[in-house]
Amino acid sequence: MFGIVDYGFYIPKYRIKIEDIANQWGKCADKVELSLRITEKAVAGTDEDVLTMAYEAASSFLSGDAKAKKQIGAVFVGSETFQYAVKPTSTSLAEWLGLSHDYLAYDTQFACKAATGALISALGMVKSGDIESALVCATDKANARPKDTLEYSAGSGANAWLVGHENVIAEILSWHSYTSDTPDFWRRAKSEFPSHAGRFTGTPAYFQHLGEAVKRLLHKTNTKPSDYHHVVFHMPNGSFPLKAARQLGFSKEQMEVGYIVPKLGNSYSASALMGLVSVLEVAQPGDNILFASYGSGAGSDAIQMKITKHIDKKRKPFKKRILQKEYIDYATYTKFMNMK
Amino acid sequence: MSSIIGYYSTPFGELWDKSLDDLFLEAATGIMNDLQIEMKQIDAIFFGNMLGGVVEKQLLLSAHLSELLEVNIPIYRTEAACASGGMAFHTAHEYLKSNPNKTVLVLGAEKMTDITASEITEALATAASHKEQSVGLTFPGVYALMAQVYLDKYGYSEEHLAAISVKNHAHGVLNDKAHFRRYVTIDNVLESPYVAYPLKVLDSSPISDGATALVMTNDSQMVQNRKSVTVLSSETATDTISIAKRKRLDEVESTKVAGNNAFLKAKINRTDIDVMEVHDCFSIAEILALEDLGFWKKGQGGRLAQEMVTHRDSGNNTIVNTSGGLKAAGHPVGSTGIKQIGEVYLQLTRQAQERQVKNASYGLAHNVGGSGGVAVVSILGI
Amino acid sequence: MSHSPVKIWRKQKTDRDLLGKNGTIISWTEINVAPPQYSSKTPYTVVLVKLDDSSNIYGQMVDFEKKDREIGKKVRSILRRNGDVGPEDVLEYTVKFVPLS
Repeated sequence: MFGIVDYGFYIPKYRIKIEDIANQWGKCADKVELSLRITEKAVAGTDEDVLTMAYEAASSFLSGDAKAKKQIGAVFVGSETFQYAVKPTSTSLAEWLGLSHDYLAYDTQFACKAATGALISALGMVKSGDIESALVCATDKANARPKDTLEYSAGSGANAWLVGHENVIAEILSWHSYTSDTPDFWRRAKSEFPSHAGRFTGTPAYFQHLGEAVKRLLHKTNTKPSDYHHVVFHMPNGSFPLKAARQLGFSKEQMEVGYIVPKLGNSYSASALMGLVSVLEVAQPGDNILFASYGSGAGSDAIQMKITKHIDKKRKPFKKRILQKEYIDYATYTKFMNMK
Repeated sequence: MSSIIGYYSTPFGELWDKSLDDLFLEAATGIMNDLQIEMKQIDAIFFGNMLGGVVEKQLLLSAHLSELLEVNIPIYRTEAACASGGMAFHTAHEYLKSNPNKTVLVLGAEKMTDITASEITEALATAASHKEQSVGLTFPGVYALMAQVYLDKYGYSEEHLAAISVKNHAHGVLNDKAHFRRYVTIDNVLESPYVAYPLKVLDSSPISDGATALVMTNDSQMVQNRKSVTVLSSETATDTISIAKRKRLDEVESTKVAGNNAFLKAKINRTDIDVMEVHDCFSIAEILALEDLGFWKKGQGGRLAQEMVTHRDSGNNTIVNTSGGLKAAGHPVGSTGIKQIGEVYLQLTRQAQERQVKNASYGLAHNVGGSGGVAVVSILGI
Repeated sequence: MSHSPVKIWRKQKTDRDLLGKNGTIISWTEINVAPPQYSSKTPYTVVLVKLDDSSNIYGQMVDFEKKDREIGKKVRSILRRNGDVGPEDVLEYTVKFVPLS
C-alpha cells in the first residue's frame, strides 16, 4: 500500500477582511464578497515566508520522530512565492528539520498545483522502492497587485505530506493529470506581482483542466461521482469549485468539509491540499476521497484516495485551530506583505 | 608613583567641521600648549578610540598620530569599547610603573556624527556580543534588559532612573565643555521617547564628537611647579561579552572586581572619596555603578538616586559626575575615560571653576566597556 | 555590515538545535531605534529566555499580546526571518519566540 503516511499544516493567525480591502479601493464590499464567496483571508506576518511556514507544517509532525526523519529520501517543495529564483528552499527546509544528507531535493513551480505534481512524483519513487518515504510541502505567501481582484483571495498557508508505504493513512489508488499550454495566469521572472487574463481563467482554464482530469480519472478507475464521500477541488475563489462540482455531478455535501476558502482565502499551492487537511480531520476508514488541484498555465492533478484504519492515530485538529485568529488592517497587511 | 600634570578637552558635541584626525590634533596640541611642553619631551603616546575601524574605516591610527604630531615614538592604541579611554590611561600607568623617568601623552578621541542614527546604532552594537547583535538587540537594548531586571527585582520605576539624568544635567550646566548645558526635569525624562524600553532618550548618553588629553609622568622634574595629582591605583577587570552568560543581571562584576582591587591598592576607604566620575552611559548604569563600587547596598540604588544623595548640593561627602557624566557632558566614546580622569584631576587641583567641590582630596574614575565586559577603576589623590 | 553566506551557514547549524524548545522570560525590552537590518521592523521586542534545559538565549518575541510579555512568562522557540537583507543577499533565518499557549 502506498500513499500518505502523515501530514501537518500551518496557517498564520492573521486575517484581513475582504470588506477592509474593498473599502480601501472604494469597491462595494458586499458585491465583492458575493461574487468571490470569500469573507476573509489568512496573511503571514512580517517575518514569515514560504520556508518558515513549510517548517512549521513539517515540524508539527516530524519534530520528535528521528527515525522518520532519517528515512526521508526525497524533499520537494512547491510554491509560487519562492524568495529565490535560484537556490532551493527544499534544502533549507531539510536542513532546519535536521534530516539526513541522503535525499533528493528540488523546488517546483506550477502555479497552484506546484506541490501536487511533486506529490505524484514522490509516490512513484516510493512505489519503485527507490526511497522509503518522501516529504512534500506546499507553501505560499501569495501576493497580488494592489487593487487587482486577486488581492481579495491571495492568502498564506502551508502543508506538509509524508509519502510512504508504512501505516498509510490515505492510500493513493490512482491519479490522472490533464495538461496543456494555457496562459491564464502567470508571473514573469523579474516581476513582483502575478498577472492574469480575466475571464479567460474560467471556462478554458480552470473548468476545462479540472473537469477533464476528474472525468478521465473517474473513467480510468471505473468510478462515479456518488462513490466518493469527500471531494476537494482547488479553490481560487469560493464560486469556481462549487460550479465545477455542479458540472461534474458532485453534491454540496460531498464538497462541504474541503470547502475552506471563504474564511481562509486561496493559499495557492497549499490551497487544495488544505481542503484535504480539513477532510482528513473527519474522514473515516474506508472513505473514498476525490482530490483535484488546478495550476494555471495549465494543468490539473486528479487523485483518488482511500482512507485506512490508521487515520485515527494521525488525524490533526483543523476546524478549531483556524478559529484562533487576529484581524489586521490594510496598512498592516501591506507591511506584512512587503518583506525584503 | 606616576602623576598627572595636565588635562585638556575639546568641547563635546556635534562638531561638524572636525574630522577624527582634527580632534586628535586639537587635543594633543592643546595640552602641549597649555603645559608649555614640546613633543620631544614625550616618550610615548597612549590613545583610546573605539570606532576608527568600524565607522571611519581607519585602523593603524597610531600612524595617523605619528603623521599629525610628526613623531616616531612608540604609540599604543587601546580598544575596549566605551572603556577605550580608561584603558589608555590604565595602560599608560602600567607603562610608567615599569619605565622610570618617562613622560607620556594620553589621548582619547571619537568621531560619531558623520553617519545616521541607524548606522551609529549598528556601530555601537559591536560592543555587544554576536548573539546580542544577531537578534537586533542594540546596545541600549542590552542595558534595557538589565534595567528591567533591576526595576522588577527591587520594586523601582522609571522615575528612579530619571533622577540620575536630572542630577547629571544639573551638573553639566556648569561644565563649559559639556554637550548639553541645560536642566531637565523628571517629567522631561519620563516624556522623552523610548529608545529601548524602559530606557528613553533622556536616560541615554548622547552621540558626541570630542577629544581629551592628559600628560602623565614619573619624572620628578616634570612634576615640579605644576598642578599635579598622584595615581594611587588603576585596576581593570573583565566579564562576559554576553549578559546572557552572566551570573546576575543586576550587577556588573567587572566593576566590583576592579573597584575592590583599586581600593586595596590605594589603601584608602570609600568614605575618603570626595568626587567620582562613574560610567552613566544609561541612567541605570550609574545606579549599578554606585552599588557595584560598594558605595550603596545592592538594591538601594533606586531610592538613593531618587534622593539625589550624590548631587553637588546634597551636602554629602561623595559627589558623583560633576562633569555632567556621560549623559550631559556627552560621550565621545574613546574620550570619555580620559575626561573622567581629567575631571577628577581638575577637582583635586582646584581647577574645576564653578563645579569645584570644596576640599576634594581623593577622587575615583570608573569607566566601563560595553555592558560591563571591561571595567577600569582608578583612584587619584593629592 | 555584510551578510556573509558563510556565517549564515554556520549559524544555521547551531540555531537549528534551539528550535521547538520551551523556556521562561528572564527579561525583555522593546527596541525603537535599530540598526539598518531591523529599521523597518521597529518597534520589536527582544527577550532573554532561560530555556527549560537551562541555557540562556536571546531572541525576538513575535505574535504576542502585551500580557504575555513579562518576566516569568513561558515561551517556545520557532523559526522566522531575521530582519531585512539587500536584494542580492542570502536570506537570514533565526530563532524567535512566541508565547506558550
